[in-house]
Amino acid sequence: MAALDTSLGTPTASAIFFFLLIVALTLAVTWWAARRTRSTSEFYAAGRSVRALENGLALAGDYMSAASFLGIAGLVALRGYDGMIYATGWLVGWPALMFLLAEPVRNLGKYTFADVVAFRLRQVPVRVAAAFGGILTVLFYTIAQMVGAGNLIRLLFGIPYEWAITGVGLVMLAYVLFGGMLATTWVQIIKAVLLLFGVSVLTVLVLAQFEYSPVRLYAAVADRYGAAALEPGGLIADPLDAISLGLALMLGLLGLPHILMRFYTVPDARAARTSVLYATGFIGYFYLIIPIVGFGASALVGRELIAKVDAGGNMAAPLIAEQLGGTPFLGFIAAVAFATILAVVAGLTLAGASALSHDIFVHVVRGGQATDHEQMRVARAATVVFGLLAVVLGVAFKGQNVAFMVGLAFAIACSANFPPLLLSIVWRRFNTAGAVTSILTGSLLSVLLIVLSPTIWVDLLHNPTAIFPLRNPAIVSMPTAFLAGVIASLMTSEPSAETKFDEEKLRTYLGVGAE
Amino acid sequence: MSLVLTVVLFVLYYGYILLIAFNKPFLAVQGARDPRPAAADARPGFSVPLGIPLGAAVIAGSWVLTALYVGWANRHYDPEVARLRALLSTRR
Repeated sequence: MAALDTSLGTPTASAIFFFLLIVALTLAVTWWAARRTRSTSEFYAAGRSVRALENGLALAGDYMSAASFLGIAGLVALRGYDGMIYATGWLVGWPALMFLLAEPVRNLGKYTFADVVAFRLRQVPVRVAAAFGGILTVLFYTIAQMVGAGNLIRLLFGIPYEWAITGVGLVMLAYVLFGGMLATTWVQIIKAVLLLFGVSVLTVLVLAQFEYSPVRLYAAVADRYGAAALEPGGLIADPLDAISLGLALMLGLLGLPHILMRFYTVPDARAARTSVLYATGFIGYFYLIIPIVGFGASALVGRELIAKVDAGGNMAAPLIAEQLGGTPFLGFIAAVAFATILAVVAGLTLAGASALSHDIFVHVVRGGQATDHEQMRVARAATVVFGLLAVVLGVAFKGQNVAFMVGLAFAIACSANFPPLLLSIVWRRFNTAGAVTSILTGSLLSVLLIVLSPTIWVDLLHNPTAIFPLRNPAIVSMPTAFLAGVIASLMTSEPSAETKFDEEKLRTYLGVGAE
Repeated sequence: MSLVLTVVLFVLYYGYILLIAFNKPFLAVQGARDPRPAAADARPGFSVPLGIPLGAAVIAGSWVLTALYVGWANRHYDPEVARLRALLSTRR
């Protein structure tokens, strides 16, 4: 029905209104936060004053990217049940994060996850390696977000790709540069609330078409596209690949620097724990209802039209919003998608900048000695460097299929960052050689295996067969990184690392001496 | 406690993934029916394949595990931490 008269891609009055409203609101928050951001601890960690509920919302805002909002709705709309597999995969990492890392990370670290790994090890080599793994993860994640942002904003508002990327880069830089973590936190909170609200309204509108019965919605989908739309299909054909993807999605979260960094914004381990509970609640709710939006789009808008507007299905949610709520609601959903991108990119930039300035400058270049004033100057310079890099890379990768980059970011996160984090917390014998070896093995192996996988070797480089058969390397690269860390630790001896383990345990579990 | 919960989580999630990988027909088994009388536009006797409630159950299960952990930590772990910290400070 709304077949040919969609106003997608033209800047309608309502879209511009909501868009300006969100930018104005978030910049006002930044102005407020800027006056409270003077010290390094305020810049990186919002002065450790964020409350558990606020951090829970901000974690949700940091994590729910445009990929999970528009991407999963589109995947469900076009491929049916297979989209739901992703929805569950994105969530199950949260309990694991809670059980294994959240509280130790809060107690041991200061601003970055490298603080935790390097706690009882030799600072310089471990910081360099951890910053390498962290920045690699953040960079791939950022490229994927920026390219996605450029495409989405072009589709939603009709703004040229390069302008869109530059716009995102500038607004995001304003948040981080002036407002630091406090502004970033509140931008993420605002975004999370808007996103949860928008998608809830959309879900109710969809269900209203089916007498509020999900079963009738599924029946309508099955009527139009056959029962196969509601059953697992070809997305996960190879069991080994399925397990590998599952590992990366689940444990990748435990190695994402911008998520781990959020635990430093709360006052103590108990608040960190409670904030994960809130985050899991919000994110789980979101992933429970987003498939309804996707199925609604395929039943009411139709797969043909969704695929015609964007082959990847990314416009499924905006299209169903327009059909059920008219142009004003479309404008609102488009603006929410924009806010989603801004909030995630701001969190990533802060994480990248903190690795550059806190890990590399303060601990490697200055040997841990730098005045607060100096640290702030370097942190802001690193923010600008990282923000510009994000814009340049976003433009450079224009037109590339970036889905594999998110996969790559999760693969590196679970292979390079997660093993040394866990080992340094639980294993007394773990030492500097083990940490450096496991980080380098994990990051280089996961990059290498992705290059040799069907995704790049066949699809991008057009070779006939892939050297490495799996699309996701996690099942090989993560155990190898653990093994490399264990072997290298056992081959070398570092008495100071073992002696300090008891002190570390007191701090890990009791919070003695935690900042 | 956190190790037990981690194991439960792995069993829950990989059980689901392995079902998808090895036993797709099971997930296509027809499950819940709409209790209300069939509407004119609904396919008569339609019911939802089991895969959909199972996917939702994995998400709900993750919630439950997280909430269990927080409940345990607040009730047992925190008092123990407070006791040990008090012990440490009197010794010093």
